[in-house]
This record gives sequence, C-alpha cells and structure tokens, in this order.
Amino acid sequence: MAEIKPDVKDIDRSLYDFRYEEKDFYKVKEGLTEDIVRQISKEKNDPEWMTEFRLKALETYNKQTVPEWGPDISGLNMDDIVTYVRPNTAMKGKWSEVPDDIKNTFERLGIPDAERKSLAGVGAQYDSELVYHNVKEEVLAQGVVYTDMESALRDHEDLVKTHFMKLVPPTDHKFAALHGAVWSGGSFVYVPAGVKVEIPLQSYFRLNAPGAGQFEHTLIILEEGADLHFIEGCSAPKYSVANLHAGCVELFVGKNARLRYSTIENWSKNMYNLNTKRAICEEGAKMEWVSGSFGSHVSYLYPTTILKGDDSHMEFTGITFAGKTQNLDTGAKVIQIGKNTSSSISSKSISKDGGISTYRSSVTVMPEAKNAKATVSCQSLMLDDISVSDTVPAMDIRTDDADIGHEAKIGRISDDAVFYLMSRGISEDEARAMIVSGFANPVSKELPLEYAVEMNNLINLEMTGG
Amino acid sequence: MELKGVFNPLPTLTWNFLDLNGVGIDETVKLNNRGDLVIQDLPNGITVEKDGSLLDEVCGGVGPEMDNIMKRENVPTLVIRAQKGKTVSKPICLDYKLGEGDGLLRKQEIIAEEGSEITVIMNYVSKRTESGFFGIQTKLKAEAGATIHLVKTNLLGNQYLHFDDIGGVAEDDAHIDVIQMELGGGRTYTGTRVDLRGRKSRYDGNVGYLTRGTQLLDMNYNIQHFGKKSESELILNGAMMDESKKNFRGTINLVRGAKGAVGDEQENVLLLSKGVHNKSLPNILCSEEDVEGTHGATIGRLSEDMLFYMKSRGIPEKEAEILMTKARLNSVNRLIQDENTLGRIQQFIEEAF
Amino acid sequence: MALLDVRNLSVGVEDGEILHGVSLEINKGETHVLMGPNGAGKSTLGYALMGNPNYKVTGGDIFFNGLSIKNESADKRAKAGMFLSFQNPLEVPGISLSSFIRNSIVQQTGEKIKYSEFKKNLKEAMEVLSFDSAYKDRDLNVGFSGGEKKKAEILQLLMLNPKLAILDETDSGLDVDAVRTVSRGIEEYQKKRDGALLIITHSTRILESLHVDYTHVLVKGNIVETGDGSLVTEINDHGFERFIGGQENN
Repeated sequence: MAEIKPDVKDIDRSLYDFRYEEKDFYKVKEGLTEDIVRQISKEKNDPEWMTEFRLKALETYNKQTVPEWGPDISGLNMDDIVTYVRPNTAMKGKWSEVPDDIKNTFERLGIPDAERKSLAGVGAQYDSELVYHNVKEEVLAQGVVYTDMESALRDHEDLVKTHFMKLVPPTDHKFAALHGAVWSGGSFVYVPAGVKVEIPLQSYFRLNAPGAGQFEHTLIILEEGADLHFIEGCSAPKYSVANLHAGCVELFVGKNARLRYSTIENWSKNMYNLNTKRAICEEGAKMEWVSGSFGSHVSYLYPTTILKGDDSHMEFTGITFAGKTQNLDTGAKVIQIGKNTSSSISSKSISKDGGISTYRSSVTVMPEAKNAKATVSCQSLMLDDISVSDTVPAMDIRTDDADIGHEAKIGRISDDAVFYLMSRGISEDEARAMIVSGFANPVSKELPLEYAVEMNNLINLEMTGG
Repeated sequence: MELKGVFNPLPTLTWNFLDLNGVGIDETVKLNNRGDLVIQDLPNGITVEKDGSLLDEVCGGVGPEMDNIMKRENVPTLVIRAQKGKTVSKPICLDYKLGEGDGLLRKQEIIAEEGSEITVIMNYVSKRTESGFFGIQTKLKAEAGATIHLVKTNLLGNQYLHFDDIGGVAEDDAHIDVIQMELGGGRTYTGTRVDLRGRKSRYDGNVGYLTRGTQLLDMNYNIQHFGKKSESELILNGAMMDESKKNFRGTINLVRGAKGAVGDEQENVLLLSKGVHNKSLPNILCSEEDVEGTHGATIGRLSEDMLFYMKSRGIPEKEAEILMTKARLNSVNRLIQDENTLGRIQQFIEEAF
Repeated sequence: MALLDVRNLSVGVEDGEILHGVSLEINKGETHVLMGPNGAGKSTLGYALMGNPNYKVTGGDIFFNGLSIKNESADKRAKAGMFLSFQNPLEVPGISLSSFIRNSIVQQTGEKIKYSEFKKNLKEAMEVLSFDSAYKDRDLNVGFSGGEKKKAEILQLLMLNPKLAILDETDSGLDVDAVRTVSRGIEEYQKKRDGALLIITHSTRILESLHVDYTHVLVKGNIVETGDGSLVTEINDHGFERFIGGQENN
C-alpha cells in the first residue's frame, strides 16, 4: 500500500475521522486493467456503449502522462487503488432503511438533519455507490429529475448519452480518462425549462474504504430559464494509505438559466483529489461557483466555465486552506467566447503549518468575443514562515474588445490588527482566528447558513486545533 | 549557428495549453559578427576590459541555453567596471548599429564595485525593414552599496530575430535599475533574472513596449528575493497593434528567510487592434511569512471614461489612442537621461504613427 | 437662433431614465446656472449635452448653432465649440498638461499653432488662475490636488476658448481661496471672451462674483423653475425645500 509521506500526526478531526469496518462489501482488486474495467461495467449493468466508452477511456488513460506541473503525485500508485467498492446494500429512499453503520456515518455528518431542515433533495454516496436518494414531492412535481447516475443511465439514457463526458472528454487529461474508465455513482439532475428550484439539492460523498478511489460523475442539465442551487459535500476518514478521488462534474446551463454550485471539500489528508469540474453557459446564462477546499493531501481543482452564449456570466468565489502535509493547487478557468460575457474570479488562500497552497487560474478571451469583461482578484495569507503560497494566474487575450483587470496580494496577518484585538481582551490565538475568519468571510457569506457554520468550524479547527 | 532549445523558461511550470512554460526554438541563424560597436569617450572611474568572464555563475532570464550559445561560439566578454566608491553620472553608451543580413552575438559584464554608481545605455538599431539576428547577453553585479543603471533600447528592423538576456545579482544595499524600450525587432525574446542576495538590495524594472505588424515580443522576468528587506518593482507599460503578439511572464519569488521583502509587478497593456494576442502571467511565489507581494494587470482598450474625456476636448478616438500610446511609452522614456537615445526613440515612435 | 437649444430632452442610463423632458435655451454670452439637490440629474444633463456614451438620449433633441448634435460624438461637439469641465478629471501619466492642451487645440482647429504664441497664451492664462507655471510640465492631473485639477480644467477652458462652457460642480471640494481663483478664471472667460456658460452647481459660492442671467432649478429630472439671478440668492437663503415640496404635490 502506498504510504503517505511525510506522515505527520493530524489535528483532531474526530468529526470526520470515525470509520466503520467494511464488511460484506463487494470490491474489485487493486489496480487498473481491462479485466477490472469490464468487471466494473458488468457489475453495474452498463449498456454496451458505456462498456465501450470505458474501455476506450482506459486506452486513453494508458497513453496519457501525469502532469509535469503542479503538486507531486508520485505517492499515488494506481496499482494500489481499489477502483470500485460497493456497499452491500441497494439504494434506499428512506433513511430508516439504510444499513445502520452507513446511516450512522451520515447521521454523524448531519446529513439527514440538514435534509429535513433546508434541502429540497439529498443524495448520499458511500464509497462507489449511492446508498440514499430522496427528493421532496413538490420538487418532483415540477418535473425535476434528481437521481443517481446509474438510474439516470437506465431511465434517461438518451440525455445521459448526449451529455456524458462531452464537456470533459476522457482525452482532457490522464485523470479524466481514468474517470471515464472506472466512474461509478454520482448524481444526475435535470431541471426543465422555466423551473426554479427554490431550495438547494445536495449530494454528499463519503469514502469509507481504505486504499479506495471514488470516481463519481455529476451531470446537471438546466433547460432555458431554470434555476438551481446544488451543494456538494465530501469527506472521508483518515487512513495511512493513499485514497484517490477523481470525480467529474459536468454542468450544462441553458439559455437564461442560473446554476449555483457550492462545494465544501473536506477529504481526509491522505486523499489525492484530482477532480474535474466544467460548466458551459448558453445565451444569458449565469454560472456561480462557491468552493471551499479544506481537506486532501493533494488537490488539483480548477472549476472551468465556458461562456459560449452571448451575455453569459460567471462568478467564482473560492477559499483554500492548506495545513500540515497538504499541497492544494486550486483556482478557476474561464473561456469567454460569446458577446458581452463577463467573469469574476475572487479567490482566497491560507497557508499554515507547512502547507502549500497554489492559486492557479486562466482567463481566455477568444477572438470572436466582443465586449468581454473579466476581473480576477486573489489574496493569500501566510500564517507562518514554514508554509508556501504561490500565485500563478494567466490571462490569454486574443482580441482588443476586452477589459481585463487583475490584482493579487500575498501577505501576513498584520501585527497591528492582532494587537488591536488583543487590546480588547482577546487572546492572540483567538485574535488570529478571528482575522482569518474575516478573511474567509466573502466566501462563507455565499454559502447557506449551515455550510457557512461548517466552514467556520473547519477554519477554527485548523487555527486552534493544531 | 544552431539555435536550439528552450528559451525564456518559466521558473515554475503551469498548464501546457497556455504555451507559456518556455519557448522551444529550433532554427539556424547566420553569424557574420559584423556590426560595429562604438564606445564613446570613457568617463573617469570606469574601466573596460576585454575577454573577462567573471560572472559566469550569474543566471540570465533567457535561460541556460543562452550561456551555452555564448560558450559554444566563443563570444568574448566586454567587462565594464565602475571602480570602488566612484559615482559616474555620465552614461557609457554602447551603440550597436546593425544592417541587412547581419548576425551578431555580444556579451557584456557590468560590475559596480562597492559604493559605485554606473549608467550603461545600449542601443540596438537597424533600418525599419531590415532582417538579421542579434543575440546579446548582459550580466550585472552590483556590490555592496553600488548602483547599476542599465538602459536597453531595441530599435531593430522588423525582420530581426533578437535575444536579449539579462542576469544580475545585487549585494547589500545595492540597486539594479533596468529600463527597457522594446519597440523594434521581428521576434524578440528578452529575459531578465535578478537575484536580490543582499539585505536591502533593490531591483527596479521599467519596461515600455509597442508591438505592431506581425511582431512577437516574448518576455520572461524572474526576480528572486533572498535578502532581508529586499525590494523589487517591475512596471510594464505597453501598447499592441495590428496582428502582433506579446507574452509576459513575470515571477517574483519571495524566498524563505527574505524577511521584510517587498515585491510588486504591474502591467498595463493597451490593445488597439482586433488581431492582437496578449498573454500575461504575473506569478508570485512565496515561502516566507513576513513579506508583501502584489501584482496587478489592466489589459484592454482605452477606457470609456478616458475616451470621453479626450473627446470632450476635441480629440477623436484614433488620435486619443495614439496620444495614450505615446503617453505610456513616454512614462518610461522620461526615465532615460540621454538626449541622443531619447531622440532616437522619439523618432522611432513618431514614424510608427 | 439660440446657441444651445435643448428640447424636451429625456436621458437614461442602464438603470433607468434620469431626465424627463428638459428644455433649455442658452444664447451667446449668457450665463445660466443649473441648481438642484443631490441626485436631481444635474451632472447627467452635462454629460448628455457633451455626448457621454453611457448616457443615452431617449427623447427630445439638442441643437447647437441650429444643428442637431444628438448623434454626434463628443469630439465633434467639442470641435463645434462645446466644452465640459469634469468633476473628476482623468489622470494621464506620460502626457504633460501643456502638451495635452496643445494637442487638443491642434485637433480642434486642424492647424498647427506657433509654439511661441501658445506659450505666451498659456502663461497668461495660468497667471489669471494663479496656477504655478511648473504644473504645465507635469503629467495631466497626475498627483494634482482637487483644487489643482479644477484649475487645470478652467485653464483648458481658457485655452480652448469654446462658444459654450458647461461647468460641472467646478467649486466642489475647494477652499475659499481656490473658489475665488476659479471664479476669476470663469469671469475672464465670461467677460473678455463673451462666452456662454452653463454652470452646474448645488452650492452658490462660485456664483458670488459672477453675473448670472438665468437660474434653473432641476428636481428629480425636471426643471421646476426658471428665474433670473435673484433665484440664486433665494436658494442660498432657503435651500431647495420649496421646489422639492412643489414636486411632491404635483
């Protein structure tokens, strides 16, 4: 089994770190061969085209090389990764029917509670398969489809076939190819024209098995004028072996539709998070990303938006907190093609206890774009002198009909600010935590309350738990 | 001569699709080493030696390939030295006048001994439509308390292939100040690396550029902060026209231990034609807490507010663009203290419009 | 024929209409004052008259010297003899104040002017404004204080010598001495050059030493009252309350 290096004691993450023995689970052997891919495909009752798709993706995977830029992923050995782990249960529509240890897992994470309080629908994935899926009646009545990808492949095959990995083709990069070969689970959302889903849908991904990979596929299609907020949460207990997450998110935002996609990623710190997210916007559409990256040992994550339609818009608000043993390479990409498109990227990153955070982005304005506007703002906070914070933002502008503004700043917490708070009777640790929370505030205020609270807890944990 | 390898390498790699990790070149250029160098009367306090090679350990921004070329072709090094404690305000001018079909490699080392101050101006000139090859490498060493002012103006013909490699080190309280006017050349690759080794060492970079026609300007800056309280400020002001292309890579590296260091890079690009292609990559790398790093960029057409202000004074759009282009180049030009050089630049700009 | 004839002008920005059918006539040599509370649309009128593309004319027309200029760009209007002084003039690094003015004159007249003559005129105009002559070589508006920026605008007014000058809040943010200097410049333009003026202001300080022919009160995008110079005094004493009340009762 691949060892995580360097192996350093983690902070108290008991909220996420509990785990259950995997018993009676079905899993494939470690590693990646044609046999394993065929076996997964058979297990999942794929239609023939999907089996072919998987095998072709595997070919691509074998041809592609790992990126020579970005964080080191040499600690990840594919021969050690179990690509498919199926919990021994069929998908349920009621929490009471979910097996106890899995149910307990999600209850400790607060998922059923959140569903009752503030969500229109919930999906919960445990290792490779969805174990729970439920949508509120009134949302279903609007014609909204929210289900696991396997059911979608069965019940909405045409929609899946025309959209699946069209935005992120397996040829995109090595881990997109890997995803294409071994994907399993994930959510499918279809919102018909004109339908506004008033409260968010949420999928929660939990990786329980050690040395396993999670390769869920999320496909969201918004028809003209539709409106949706989708929330994605991820966590896993910590093991001493490498886990891999190579999910794929494809978002099709139709004419004048609006999609907000919020993620709080809190994978354990043995996770290699090599995730690909991409959205395409038609005329007048709006894509909003809210992204919090707290977990993982290594992350490569750059949600990409293609502003294809005229008057389409994109907003990205993200925060990354890299602590001990973490190397988080995050950011955003946008490609502006239509007329009067605009994009706004606002990113914050924090480095602490030897953590490495890299903000990486690209803004591309194509020659056919007219009156394109883009603003990029990134701020990085260094909390000590053993950490690293890099900023690598690119702008590729291929027309004069553009207005691009960019600003970035790297610095530390000002001593004056700490002193000011301390002079009001606040301890230094608290003062620093408060300042960091304030720094993160523009991101947390974009999140629904429960998640903002969760994010603040994570920050406090990182600031004081070390 | 074989010109082969990766030039202007990015210190930290990023996505390949951006095509900014470095420039792969594989072509043959003819060298004739014509083109005469005229050093006008040498001021007191400055010495010139031929065939030294004292700064081989200093790296340039174009990358190690440039050093290999200089070695392979046995290019002699001109060493210009400011003697200890001497402040020389009169600039030393190196005028490289090139002609059609010339192929030239040149290398200089500028050493400012402790507490000295020196100004070197290098002009590369050929006629507007001429073609040829000019590779130049300039290594700088500013010893404690010394200041080097270096001015480089590229007024080469629009078919010239041009490499300009600058590498410098600054010791305690030393200051390296480089002004570059990139106006000519067909394809220009210019790279600057400065190692701010000393406490309170400083680098100032002021770059003005204008790209027209099918010109390509490829720039790579790499400022390494090692010294405590070291400071750097890199400011680029440019305008792009026609089908021209420009790549700017700027890296400020605030290395662990460089406590109190401050680095800043700003780029303002005025885009004046539909067919231009601008790439900018202003990186900050940081492994020290007690530092400040900032960068900013504004890329685009003349702002509507500015255009309206100009128009309200009777200046039409086209003229306003020319005026603003000149203004940007002027803000760099005026830092140049030499009338001759200034005159040549002004003339070049006037002819451009 | 009036020099400026604004007929039933409606103007909007992206967020909606600001001026709702404003009419105004200014003859050669006349001084008009446009007053009104904050947000009434005063600056909008100034921008619309000068042709700021962010302010769209949605109704009515603007005639200057008998010709409709509604669809002309700002530089054409300037060439025709209009001038607008900005509340917040823009900074242009790399171009000196004097070379900017010279450029403007050349663009407007289409002919070169003798440098010696230009220099002489500039010197005289700067003296009127007690403007330190060193400023002519400084970059346009870069690092200028609020007062210096306003002086630089009035200096351009004197040098460009338009037929109609629209002064937008030229007195805002100035101390007593600066107001006096700036009004001296305006007086010079008004008297010696027989220039027509539209002075947009919400205070009355700048008007103390100027002769005013007409005063218009703009409230919520409509001219609610027009009077002579004495209206200025009234507003000075009683504020805009009477006009605002009148609006709401309508």
